[in-house]
Amino acid sequence: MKTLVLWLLSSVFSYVILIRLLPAVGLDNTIFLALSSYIPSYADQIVAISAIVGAVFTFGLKSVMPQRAPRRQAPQRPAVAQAVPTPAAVVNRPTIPPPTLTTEQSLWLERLTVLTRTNNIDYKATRLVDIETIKAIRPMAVFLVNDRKFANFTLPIFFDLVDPNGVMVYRTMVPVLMKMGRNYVVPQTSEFPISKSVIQGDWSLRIWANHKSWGETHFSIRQALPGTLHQFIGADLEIDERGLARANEVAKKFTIDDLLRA
Amino acid sequence: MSTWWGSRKQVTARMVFEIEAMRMLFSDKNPILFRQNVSWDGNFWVATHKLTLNTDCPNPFWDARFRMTNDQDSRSKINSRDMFHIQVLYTSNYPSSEPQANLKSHKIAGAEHYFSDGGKLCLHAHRTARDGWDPAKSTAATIALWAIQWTRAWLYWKQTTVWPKASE
Repeated sequence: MKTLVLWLLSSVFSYVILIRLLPAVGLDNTIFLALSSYIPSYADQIVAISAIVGAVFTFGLKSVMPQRAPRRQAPQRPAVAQAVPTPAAVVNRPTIPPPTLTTEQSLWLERLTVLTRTNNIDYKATRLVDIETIKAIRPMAVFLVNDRKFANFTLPIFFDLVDPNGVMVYRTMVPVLMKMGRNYVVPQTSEFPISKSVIQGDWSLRIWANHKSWGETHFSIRQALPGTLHQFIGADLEIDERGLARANEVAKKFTIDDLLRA
Repeated sequence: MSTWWGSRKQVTARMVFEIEAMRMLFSDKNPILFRQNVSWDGNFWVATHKLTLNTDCPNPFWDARFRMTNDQDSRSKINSRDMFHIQVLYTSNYPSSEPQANLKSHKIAGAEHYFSDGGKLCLHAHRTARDGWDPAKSTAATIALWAIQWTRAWLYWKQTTVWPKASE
């Protein structure tokens, strides 16, 4: 559409120039005599030449114009990104992937989650990060290798944390020597600190390796529910009516979305 | 018009229980070990891939996607790496009548113990409240639990052409 508009504008412009310029330099007779056997009308000749000049100008212009820039990714937030060490090596994706990963069935992502730390040693998997009690989080994944010939290679695993605004605020890379069976992948030296300045809401954890996205999971950073109803639900998943008062209390405070995220 | 579950902003105590129970069964934190005390099956794990609740239609429904893996010590011959998708649909007069469970991920036509009009799974014998649906206590998770066990029986039937009895 843009090309058509450009061509039309160029043609109109050429028409005006030609009708003024050619007679002035004495070339009109030469050109129009040559064309007269094909296009007898003078006006049609002018229009035809204008169209040709317009087309040449349009496509000439397009060839020298820069191509459309690739879609920009959301910028990283400098303040938070600087707070977390980001290895320089992760800026570019690995260019030499292990050749053994062509068969997807040989390697499975079994689990992807976030581990939370409340003190120096306590890490728990969760989908709700309580902003009041959690000090830091780190990603965790479990890969399953089920074919011996696909084991014993080092695979760089990349984790990204994306905040509720879609901004990637943390990236880390873990080189993992894949072995047969389960391979637990947790960054040992890098974690994402949780403070009251962290944006509350729904976050994403993405994992990628070997030029491929392996999965994404979601979790919430917010104030946790003040209690649980687990104790009032039996092993057969039936309700214990003694928990009704507690359930009413929860119902008054939280929306359905809160409960599904909690 | 008020519903048994309330609204997205203001849920009822019953819905609080429903959500809690479903999330206990389909935990994304840890796979759940099912202990099968039957001769035709062994213990197996259920690892949840995704659990969602849809409340945009008149009757809310759950979608649960999961895989089943035999426990290491299990003697079960049922082996499937498939992703299963069970849908549990609340009825308009819930909890007086039980939710409907469907196995959405697989074609079960030709199998036993399902209703051919709509594919609803036949999960129990409707004998007494203890054996079947108890409106005061049972939840959608109870139905989902039975649907998982139904799926195990269906996998066994596919391998042997014999539908196992619950007491076997």
